Amino acid sequence: MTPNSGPKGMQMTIRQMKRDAASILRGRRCQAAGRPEDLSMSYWRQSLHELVRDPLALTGLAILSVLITVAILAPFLAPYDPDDIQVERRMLWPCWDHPLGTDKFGRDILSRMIFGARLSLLMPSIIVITTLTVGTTVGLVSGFKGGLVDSLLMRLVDIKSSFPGLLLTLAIIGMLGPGILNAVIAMSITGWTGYARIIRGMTLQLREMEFVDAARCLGASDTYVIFRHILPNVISPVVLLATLNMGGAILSMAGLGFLGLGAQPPAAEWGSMLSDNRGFMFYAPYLVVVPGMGIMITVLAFNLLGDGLRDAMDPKSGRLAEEMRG
Amino acid sequence: MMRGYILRRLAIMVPVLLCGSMITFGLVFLSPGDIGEMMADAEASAMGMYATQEMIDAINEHYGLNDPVHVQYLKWLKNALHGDLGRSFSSHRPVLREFTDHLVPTLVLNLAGIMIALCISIPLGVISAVKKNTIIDHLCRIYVLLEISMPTFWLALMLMWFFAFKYDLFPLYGYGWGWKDNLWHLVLPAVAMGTSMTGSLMRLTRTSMLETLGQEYIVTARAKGLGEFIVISKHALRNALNPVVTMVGLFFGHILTGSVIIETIFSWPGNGSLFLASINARDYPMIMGFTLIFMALFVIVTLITDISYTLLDPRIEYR
Repeated sequence: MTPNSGPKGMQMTIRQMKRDAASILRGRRCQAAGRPEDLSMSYWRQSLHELVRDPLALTGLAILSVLITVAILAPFLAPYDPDDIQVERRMLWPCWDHPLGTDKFGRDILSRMIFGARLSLLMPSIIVITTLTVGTTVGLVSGFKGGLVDSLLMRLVDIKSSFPGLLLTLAIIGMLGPGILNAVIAMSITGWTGYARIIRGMTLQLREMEFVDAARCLGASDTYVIFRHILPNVISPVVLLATLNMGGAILSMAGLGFLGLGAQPPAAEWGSMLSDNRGFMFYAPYLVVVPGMGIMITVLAFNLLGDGLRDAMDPKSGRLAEEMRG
Repeated sequence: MMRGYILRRLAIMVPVLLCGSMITFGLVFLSPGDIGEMMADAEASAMGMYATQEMIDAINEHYGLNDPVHVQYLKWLKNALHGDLGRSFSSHRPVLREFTDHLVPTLVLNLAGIMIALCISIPLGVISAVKKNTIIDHLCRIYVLLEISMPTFWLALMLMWFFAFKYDLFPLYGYGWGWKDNLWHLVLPAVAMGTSMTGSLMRLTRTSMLETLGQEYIVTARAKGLGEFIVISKHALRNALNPVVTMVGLFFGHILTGSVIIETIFSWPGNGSLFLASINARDYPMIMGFTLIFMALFVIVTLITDISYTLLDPRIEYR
């Protein structure tokens, strides 16, 4: 029996209960944020208002919009083919024809940067989406089911936490062999545990709420309760975490590319462009300065946006990020 | 009480390390290709020959690679507990020897890096908190934001270009001969390493310090008429440093992964660059051995960090 087949009055009661719970939650959040509870707006809209008033967050958002547009429109924006080797124009300093110069094969750096934005943004996004999906699923199941499932999954998370930083990622790449796909797989395998831990904690709190009990009384299945009642309540911190982690994912992927374990030449990716051109650094510093600036500006934009979102949504600043690390 | 806590923590370490070793061992099954064949190739190339089928069979027999997985695992674990982690495919030396031979440069680099990071980030973090919302604070926060957005390898390359190439103040790369030369070569990698940690450390010190400065005992100390310097250095800072210690412990636990990039850029002969070389050479015994060793070290460092809390803050009780 799904809740939809329940008596009409009961449906109304549940809706009321959810509304009550939502308003209590909102009240708490606003109180924690130290701002008056404005009943004319939903929590999300209020957060959005807060965000729009933050100039740094808006700057981050603007930079990201430009970068994403550039990545999507790369074939139309790039003045040259990024992989086109022209020996006669190699190692040109920035000039009118090549605003950012050319590399040892005469490939145009600006075009490679523009096309590089695709890989450099896409791979971290895939990693964040994968780890987020797996982490959220594990967290929801673990928190909701409890018992043996919970203990098993959480021990798995604990064991993962006993490997320092990138060690397991590096070891997995070592076994699978260097390459862009393997790097993404390795990062995805190791990255989900932080999300799982946080989502589990929130699920534990939510499943004790009245509207969950009510839905169960109506005979809703576990899956229905998880997707309809619990998931919507954990979405906002998940979005926040994803933004905060994008910067880290970009840095890690660029680092792997730099070490020759991620994107392989001749693929245009900022990290591997840096390591490709390292040998010519002293003769032509722009070859190293430009990709580095690209990475830095992108990560900075994500950090600015993430900080703004956190101030707007999770005002006990850094609590989530802290938990994620621990 | 304290002893009970340490004993219990040590007891928990056993299953954690066991599971970690299982994962490390299981990594081999991710690798494409036949491990016996690869070992035979490695042995054969050392003698300047090609591996024959007989050699492969002999190696499979000798190392028990035809045994069931759990038997292989137990054998590997038994050997590992006796300090035998196998031999490197590329150098043919015992993995443990390779590790200990390259340990000193890594330790020196990391310790120097952490020292530099602490010397920069604690004073700046404290000033930033004490002078909240002044121009100094804003400058510090801008620095933090830029630093955490900057790729470490890029910073290292820029330092190299500026200080070693343009102004020729320090050697470009390498380890040097004799301790004076070593120290000379250490400066740039250590500065790069230290700077890469300052962002998060400064931010943490500032937050923690702000929290502590709001406590009642700080008001009391001020009300007693103590000088501002004493209040901050003796009453506030000491209590604010607890989370900083955790983070330093974490950094130290991340010793290998943290220094892979720096060591590679500056050709520093430590464990990090060796680990990367092993990954590129698909040197399985080295990858497995190093993963196991560093996991064990990380677990131990975490425990030491947790215990060190009591020394810094007697209010914390372990149960």
